[in-house]
Amino acid sequence: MQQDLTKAEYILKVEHLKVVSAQGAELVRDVSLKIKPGEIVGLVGESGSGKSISTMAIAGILPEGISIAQGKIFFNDRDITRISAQERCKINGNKIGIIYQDASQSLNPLIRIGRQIDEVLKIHTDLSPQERRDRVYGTMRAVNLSNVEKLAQRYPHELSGGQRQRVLIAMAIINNPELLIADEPTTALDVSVKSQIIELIKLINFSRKASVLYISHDFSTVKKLCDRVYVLYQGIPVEVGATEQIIKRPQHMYTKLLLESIPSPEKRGQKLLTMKARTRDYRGPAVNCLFAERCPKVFERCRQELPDMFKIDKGHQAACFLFDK
Amino acid sequence: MMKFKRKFKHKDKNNQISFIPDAQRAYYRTSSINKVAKLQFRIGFMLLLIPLILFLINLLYRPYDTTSMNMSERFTAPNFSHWFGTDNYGRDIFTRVMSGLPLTIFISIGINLIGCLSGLLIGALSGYYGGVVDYWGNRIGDALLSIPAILMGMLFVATFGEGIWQVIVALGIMFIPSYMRVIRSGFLEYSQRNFVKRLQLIGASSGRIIWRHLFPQIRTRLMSAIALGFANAILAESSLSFLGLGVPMSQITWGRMLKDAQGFLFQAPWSAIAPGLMIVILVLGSFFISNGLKQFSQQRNMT
Repeated sequence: MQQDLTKAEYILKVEHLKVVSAQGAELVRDVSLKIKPGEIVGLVGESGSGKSISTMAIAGILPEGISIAQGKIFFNDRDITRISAQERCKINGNKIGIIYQDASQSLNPLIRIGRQIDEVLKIHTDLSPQERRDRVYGTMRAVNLSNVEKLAQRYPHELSGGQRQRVLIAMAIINNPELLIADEPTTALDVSVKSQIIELIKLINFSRKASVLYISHDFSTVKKLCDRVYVLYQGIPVEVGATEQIIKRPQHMYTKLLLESIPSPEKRGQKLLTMKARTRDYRGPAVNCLFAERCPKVFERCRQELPDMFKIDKGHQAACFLFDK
Repeated sequence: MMKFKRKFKHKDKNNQISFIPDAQRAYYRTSSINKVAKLQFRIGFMLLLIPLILFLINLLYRPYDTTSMNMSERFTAPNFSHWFGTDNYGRDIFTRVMSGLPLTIFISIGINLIGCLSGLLIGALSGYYGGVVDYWGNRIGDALLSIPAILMGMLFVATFGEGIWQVIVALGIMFIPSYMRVIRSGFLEYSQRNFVKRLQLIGASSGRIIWRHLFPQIRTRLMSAIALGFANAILAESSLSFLGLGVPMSQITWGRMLKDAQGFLFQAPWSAIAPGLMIVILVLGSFFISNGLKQFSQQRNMT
């Protein structure tokens, strides 16, 4: 694989990304995130917090009418927000591998599995058919698919959900990408398959030296997988830190409440904390703290200003005025 | 008892005896849709066999000359020497029907080729890209749809004179919108599927997505549209020829023959019946096949 002589400090650096729809609604308000080589970064948030839209912006597949209004996305120190379609085709599937949610819909129902995986190689490399076939089988084995020769001859509807997800992972990693983006890869799967997939992503991160951006709303998988976590609320990261810090010592009220609302054996018999429901879906420009309307510790300043990221610990930051010292 | 049991014993491919109840077996074998589709295919092919046989006979042997006149035998009713009778110049209608077949089919294929290829181009692009491309693609379709086929035929005949190519091009253009709509709706439907997004994620180009992945999805649908278009083209050509805007006098097509028969319809009805019947057979045949294909594609979409 091609190696950059000057290895960038961050494999992916997103700076003040703002994504708006054609009607002017702000879907992602101000997201900045950094991923170091070899790191697994989690992006957590509730539905509509802009997780998937951010990944679409990174992959350059924003739906029609939705566009990047501001900000830059650097992949290996190269701005990829305004590159041409051809350039985009060279990056996607080659240097950035993406695992999409909903594996059952993501495969072409008319084409055999083997050919669909092979297509990624066909697009990005000029290997001979023999080499390509070996590599397809090799990658299929690497994602723990068994009996690959037979499986390659199957059609997508003949596979189980877990197998399909593995096929998608195989497609994403077959070109040894530097960055693997996993957009809720476990949503449609049952618990046992879920943990297998998580282990697999971990293994890929370790053996292929790929950085991973893992998007989920599920803290249990994030806890197992990620090195660092970004908590997103309404298109703005509210807390950033190592997984340990976020899970054990959450500082922002939103993160705290999120974690409190997960049922666990220790909380047996107690009433689960629930957050106040969102009263409105505000999509205009953010002028004050967006969490103010649901925050139990809200005070005057929250309703007037938008908080910056305040440092709490080494690498641990939260966007809350409580930490403004 | 033994006899009863044997009824349920079947040997599969590996010569092993399996015990699947007959009711279940029947369920696996065919669904009701499949049966209807099969019946329609059968009827369609049987009907299309008639023109095919006529075409083969025409290649090998023609009982009479198609153009030379024989005034002593004008308006002969069908008999053993003239199966379909003779027309106003005493020409054998059976021979003329046979030799009119290749041109009729050639024109129909030509019309559909123009309509289908242009429709595919416009429909695929507007269905896949959407937005502005879709808007203008649709406007082109609407504009073409608003022109009556006969007016278009007149325009071409008036500008370029009578001829086969004029008919093919004029009607071919008229066939674009119907193909375009079928193809556009298919592309619109499938381009919303997640696998298209996944293909963009692996860096597949738009051309690749359109031709390698989306086009195969609508192939059955297109086939049924072609079978239907084939029937419509024969009808359209006939009506143009009937009005005298179609192929030149020297050429034989079934529409032309119908037009010629118009003048003495009551004197010699057989001269209109023979080509008319052939048109009906061909149209019905391709219509049945089109319907069968449609049901097959529906069934495939269900599973």
